[in-house]
Amino acid sequence: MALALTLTRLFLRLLATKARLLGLGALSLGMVLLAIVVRNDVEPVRASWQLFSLYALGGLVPISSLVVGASAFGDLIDDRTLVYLWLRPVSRPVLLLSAWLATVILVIPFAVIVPTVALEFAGMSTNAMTTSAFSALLGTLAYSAVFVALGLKLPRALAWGLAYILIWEGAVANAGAGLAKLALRLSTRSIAFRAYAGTKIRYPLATGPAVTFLGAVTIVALILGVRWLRNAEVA
Amino acid sequence: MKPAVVFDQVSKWFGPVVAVSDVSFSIGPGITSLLGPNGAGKSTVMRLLCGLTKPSSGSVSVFGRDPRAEPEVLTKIGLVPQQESVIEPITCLRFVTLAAQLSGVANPEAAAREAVRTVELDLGDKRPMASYSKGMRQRAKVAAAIVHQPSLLILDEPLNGLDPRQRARMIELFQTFSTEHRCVIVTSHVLDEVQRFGSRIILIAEGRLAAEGEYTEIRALMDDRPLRIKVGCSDPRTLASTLVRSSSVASITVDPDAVTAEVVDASTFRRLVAKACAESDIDLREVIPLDDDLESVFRYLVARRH
Repeated sequence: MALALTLTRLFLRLLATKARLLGLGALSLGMVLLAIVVRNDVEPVRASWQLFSLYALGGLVPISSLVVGASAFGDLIDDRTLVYLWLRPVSRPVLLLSAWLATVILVIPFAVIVPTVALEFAGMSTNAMTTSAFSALLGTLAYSAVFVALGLKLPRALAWGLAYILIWEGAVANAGAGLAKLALRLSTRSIAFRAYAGTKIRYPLATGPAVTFLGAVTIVALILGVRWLRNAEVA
Repeated sequence: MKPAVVFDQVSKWFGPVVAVSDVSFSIGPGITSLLGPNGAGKSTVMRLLCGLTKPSSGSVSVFGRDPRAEPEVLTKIGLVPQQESVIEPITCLRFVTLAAQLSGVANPEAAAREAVRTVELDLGDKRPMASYSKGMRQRAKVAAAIVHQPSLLILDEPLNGLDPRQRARMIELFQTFSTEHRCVIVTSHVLDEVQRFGSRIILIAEGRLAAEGEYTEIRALMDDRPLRIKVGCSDPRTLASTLVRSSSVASITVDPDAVTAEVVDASTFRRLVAKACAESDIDLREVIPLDDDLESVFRYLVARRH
């Protein structure tokens, strides 16, 4: 436990760079500014849903998780410092979970707390805020797990992750049917939209399956991450 | 005594590139140097030793265990990697304390302070390591590698970036470490540096084991090969007429200001040149080995072995 805390603190120290914090801060501030505008919309609930669905669940949650998560191991691999952690008798699951935990801790303020506060500015109910925060949190857990693992496996994981978010989640899954619908965003939206009474867009997943899907993706990504970490070729 | 490290017919290739080819050796306590030119495969051997990469074929055993499959053995290994990079945003003391914590040292802070003191870095330095010079980083890496008192210390080009005083200090430290029945493995591409370690040598060239033995044996192997030596002097023609009669000379060419000889026994040739010049009153200006670089030495040894 003490080891996991030490590692989590180290990852937080490494990941919380000024540029990253400023970039994510600016991105999440945009949500607050737009929420203030939305408050005066003739259909504030619909406008708030669109803002949360597109900006928070479609942008802030995946992009913040990507920017931080892909760097957790990606930066260590790029600057060849992973050796200092890998070459210690530390359990690989503990190492990976620490990186994931640090990513989640860093992303939550930008992807969960600020968007939820923004909904308050937009005049949304406590129920809508709670459900929205829940969906963003589950999304953060899942995206972070995926991108932390990808950072271990792929060079230039940031570019691959961005392509996934924009091309697959943003275009193919939005327009496609069947398997093409398999996207984390679909699940996070399926959880959140029910809190916005009056929104006309319906999402196919019930809350239970959506939560299960996000949980399963998180667990599978973490298991794969541990496997990739064990088999990593460390420079 | 069982060897601490056993390499058994190990090969490692990266796609079409063969980095290490069918290498077998074993290493016991004391200092062992892995010597070879740049790109010979030394660092890959080091990475295989620590389990940082998996052999494509063959097996690596450290204290009877596979370092890649059994991370517990990593408690016994300390590595100073070749790369200059360190975890930059933290202080040296934090870096070394972290290494101690991750290695399960009972009192990591005290062990870290001791290790930092040993490499003569400032315990009170609050600067992050990003601002450290190459030599300071090197010493911080050594401190992190020794903080848990490993039984096997692996050092990849450990003297890079150090000033002469620090070099001497580090060599002394590694020698002390090796006298406590521990293994120290050092890579280098400089033969004279290896001589200062007073170590056994494993010579790697083109990913193969070219030779192994004590320093004097390796030096003799190098001196026994045919060499081209240029002798600059005031009377090349007279000198050549004396030298050509020696069995240590295979062939000779005469230039206006020098003699270039292909010799089979370098030490005999050098003595002969000095004697001939003295006897014939010739001014000896220079004696230059034309192919004494390590690359050509290694190429010769590899060719001789196969």
